[in-house]
Amino acid sequence: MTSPTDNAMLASRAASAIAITPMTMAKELEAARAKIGGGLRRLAEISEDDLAIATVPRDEVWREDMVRLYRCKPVVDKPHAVPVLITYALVGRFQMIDLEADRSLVRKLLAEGFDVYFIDWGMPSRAQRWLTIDDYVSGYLDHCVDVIRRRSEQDTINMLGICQGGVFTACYAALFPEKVRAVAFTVTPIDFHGDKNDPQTGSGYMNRWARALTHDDIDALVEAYGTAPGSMVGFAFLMMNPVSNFTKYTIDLIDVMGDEAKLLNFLRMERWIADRPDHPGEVLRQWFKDLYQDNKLIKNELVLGDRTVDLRKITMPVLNIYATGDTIIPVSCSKGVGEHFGTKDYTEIAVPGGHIGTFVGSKAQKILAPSLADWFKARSAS
Amino acid sequence: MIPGAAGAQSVYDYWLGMLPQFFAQMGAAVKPSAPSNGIASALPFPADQVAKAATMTSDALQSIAQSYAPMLQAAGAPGLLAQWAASIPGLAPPQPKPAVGAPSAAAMAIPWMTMPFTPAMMAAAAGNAMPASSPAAAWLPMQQMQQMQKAWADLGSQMVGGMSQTYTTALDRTFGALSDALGLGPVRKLQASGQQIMAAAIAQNEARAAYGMLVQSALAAGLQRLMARLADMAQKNERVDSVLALMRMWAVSTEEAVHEILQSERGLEATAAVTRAGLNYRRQMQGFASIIADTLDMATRRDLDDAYREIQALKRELRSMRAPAAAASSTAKPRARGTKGPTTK
Repeated sequence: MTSPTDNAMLASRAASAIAITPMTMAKELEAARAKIGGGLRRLAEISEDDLAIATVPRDEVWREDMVRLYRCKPVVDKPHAVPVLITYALVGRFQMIDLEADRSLVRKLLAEGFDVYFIDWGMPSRAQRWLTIDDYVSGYLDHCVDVIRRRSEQDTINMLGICQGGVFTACYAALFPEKVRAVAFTVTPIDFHGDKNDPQTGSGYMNRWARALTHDDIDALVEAYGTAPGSMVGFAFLMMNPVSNFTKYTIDLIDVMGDEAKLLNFLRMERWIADRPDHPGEVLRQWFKDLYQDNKLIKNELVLGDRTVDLRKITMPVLNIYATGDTIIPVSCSKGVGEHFGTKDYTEIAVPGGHIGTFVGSKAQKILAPSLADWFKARSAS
Repeated sequence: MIPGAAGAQSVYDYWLGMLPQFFAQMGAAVKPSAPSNGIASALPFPADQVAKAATMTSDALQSIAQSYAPMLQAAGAPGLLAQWAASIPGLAPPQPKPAVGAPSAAAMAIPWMTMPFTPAMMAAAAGNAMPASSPAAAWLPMQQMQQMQKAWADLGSQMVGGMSQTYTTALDRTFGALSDALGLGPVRKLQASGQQIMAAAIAQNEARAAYGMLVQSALAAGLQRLMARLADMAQKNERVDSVLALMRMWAVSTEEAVHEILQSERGLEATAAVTRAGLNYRRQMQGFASIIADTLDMATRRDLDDAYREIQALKRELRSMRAPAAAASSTAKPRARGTKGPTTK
């Protein structure tokens, strides 16, 4: 505790660093208001088409319940023979991989000559309340892989999992290794307790929050909600950085409003963020209890259906990409997990930026897609 | 409208509803819902929400310009910091009071982040924007919130423990058998359920208050950090000459403090407590609703869940039957699966 006198001295010293005059302040705020005014005029001209995201040309090739499998239209005459299946998380929509034409992981992979498929998990309703992780992995995901294998006439395909979708992909590769040529994980938690050894303020809030709850609390959460509403999931993410979420809609908005390109980027990102699907309760229960609380994946104790996920059965090549500034999936939960896989071909790459910045950040964009492309190409040749 | 926009609207309502409190922290007066020149309602989502936020920000900047100018003129930077600190007990420096006409930060110091994590989430989930729909809980200064919480507790303890329990027992002894005979048993169930809801509401309010205190301490720590950062700058002969930059510094300092406190053991305990209390309240409400549904012979969520559970079990069974069939028919090259269920284009 500091005394009032100490505080007064501190405030006095602090005040001497402030060189704001009424005149400079008035000019600055007037300029800021002018930017906002210009932005409001731009907003008035914006149409639905301007805000469209995930517009890459594609065909729906399979569907079951609310799940859809899409094949992106190749942009080269003869794509690489082994297709890539991208699996996104349930907590957000797949559009993140193709947010805008110039910020699109999918388009970059297509340009590299890949045959790209991705799964849209859809919008689960109350009817999907009982879906388990096994239903997703051994059900939908396996069906998608089989469809792609058949269409491409390949015994094995390449898989790319993102965040929660990376965990699903890891489970799949361990349970169905015979169908996977090579697997890449991006911003994927493998060691859910990794943050314990390297706690960072402002990072891994979900890990800590989940561990502060008991198994009974998680059961109560699932019982009370059935499916976790998408808005609740979204709110949980926003509350990880509550102050930033105020500045985002206020003082940080000033510069955004003053620049047309930034404004459109901002709006498209907001559109993606707002589009949160409900989360099936049983997946949530297993996700929090077995993974966040008991860390069963890395211990090879996670049971899906009647089978145990053993990471040592992942003997195909593994690429693990993590973001150095990821506060949602702390670096320590993703990095340095190679020894837990059965493969002898393990590569780890760090990209700058945060969890989502990995896919849309300008610096990360220069690393992510080229790294994935080179790595998959090298392992799909034979 | 995008698929998730209906739920997202409640999240926007929450955040945008809190913006006046955010700006009030800096002494700016902003109306809870800015008109945004009428354009917002015609815009596609989420441009409409961004227009609202931008208009409120513009209004806030105007308010700041009006209130800070005379204050800076009269008291300079110390006056500005005094205004920011005035809302934090024990931090207010002994500086000249803000100029006449400037909004008093103490009067406007609304704990803009004192709505606890889970209740806010739950309100968002339920499609309610807490600041708009629950002003008494979200907008009052901490002291008033505590007084209200105490009043709640007093009322609750009377209803649950004292007089109402006596009346309930007496009524039950006198008329219980009669109401059962007439098929009025649910009335007693509802009464008991109502008492449980009341108890859960009190517990939830207590957990919220504890969480709110924690957030308040984070705000205080944030301002302290800002002061320390500025003092450090002064020592290095560095200056901040932009009010927006100063606000950003405040935001960064406060975010750090919020992270530190909410990720501490007591922060996590408070969050867990508020989560439990919120879940219990929701379950008590569901229990009340299910009594009514049973009485009226209406299907409940549990009935629907049971049906969905059975459907899902059947789907799993079907999948397990497909797997051996697919394995038996597969050769070196994968072949098409059956067309029942999943459709392949």
